[in-house]
Amino acid sequence: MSELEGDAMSAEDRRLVDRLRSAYQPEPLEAAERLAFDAALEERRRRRPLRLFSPAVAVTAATAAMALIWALAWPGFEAAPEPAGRVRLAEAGWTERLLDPSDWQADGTELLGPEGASGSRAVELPDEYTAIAAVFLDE
Amino acid sequence: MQGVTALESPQASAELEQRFAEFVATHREPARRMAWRLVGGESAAADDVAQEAFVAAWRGLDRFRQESSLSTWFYSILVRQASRHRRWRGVREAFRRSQQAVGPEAPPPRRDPGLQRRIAAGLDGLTRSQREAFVLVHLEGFTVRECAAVLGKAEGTIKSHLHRALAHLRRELADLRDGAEDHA
Repeated sequence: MSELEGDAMSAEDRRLVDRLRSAYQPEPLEAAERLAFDAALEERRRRRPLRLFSPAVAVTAATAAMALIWALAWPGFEAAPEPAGRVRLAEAGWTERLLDPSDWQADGTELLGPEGASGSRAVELPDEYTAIAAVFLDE
Repeated sequence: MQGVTALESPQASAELEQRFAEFVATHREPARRMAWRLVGGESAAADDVAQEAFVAAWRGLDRFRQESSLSTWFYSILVRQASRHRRWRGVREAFRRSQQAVGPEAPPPRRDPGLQRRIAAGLDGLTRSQREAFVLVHLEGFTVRECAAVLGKAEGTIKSHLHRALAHLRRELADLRDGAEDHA
């Protein structure tokens, strides 16, 4: 009989549990059924390769899986399409100018398009870029 | 031989095989019975669950020197296998219906199948944790401490599960307390 270590059951509950225990159980295996059970167990043991998931195998498999995921997820070197309605860099070759050391002394007016800081801008910049540009240009 | 690495001697292999055979002989019926009670009274499923647990025990046999540790670990696996079986039961039944397979007829049970179905339904109304605790402690005779070790929970948690399980079954199966006769 199981213990409840201080949590004694009422007599009615004990009767209920006893009734459940006696009624709710399978038929015991007969000799032939026992042999069949053991044979099926042995078949399972033979079918299951042991130590399939050895640490070395697990690490190798995990590494291969991660490499495959990385390879499939890598977007490649295609340039992202230019977002419409955002920055229109009016002048070609702006990347070369950005990389040109002489541009490091530039005052940021390059980004405002060919009219520079003086007039209306050919470049449509988001508001935050405009604000940042304004800081540099003391507008 | 399955279960033996190249480094183990034939003598060690034979000892492991002997240990395993003794373990199966000792725990075959208790494992089948526990699995049967946990999966809801299906004999084929119980055998399946018990055999899977034994295979897992075989794979871990050399890690456990003490029989008590091995038993605790074995029944932990068995409880998990039973839970997994219950989770996939709906899928299996749908597949079986689609296949319209007619299996061999099971021999007529000696115990009252109607009563067993009622009890199974009562246990189905418990949460998984309550059902596992109730089966292990009240039906299988585990102590609360042993049950806590198998299920990996605190003893207080097990007691709480037992209390609620009993309250539920008291409501659902109250007539069984009064010694109603089996419908043989």
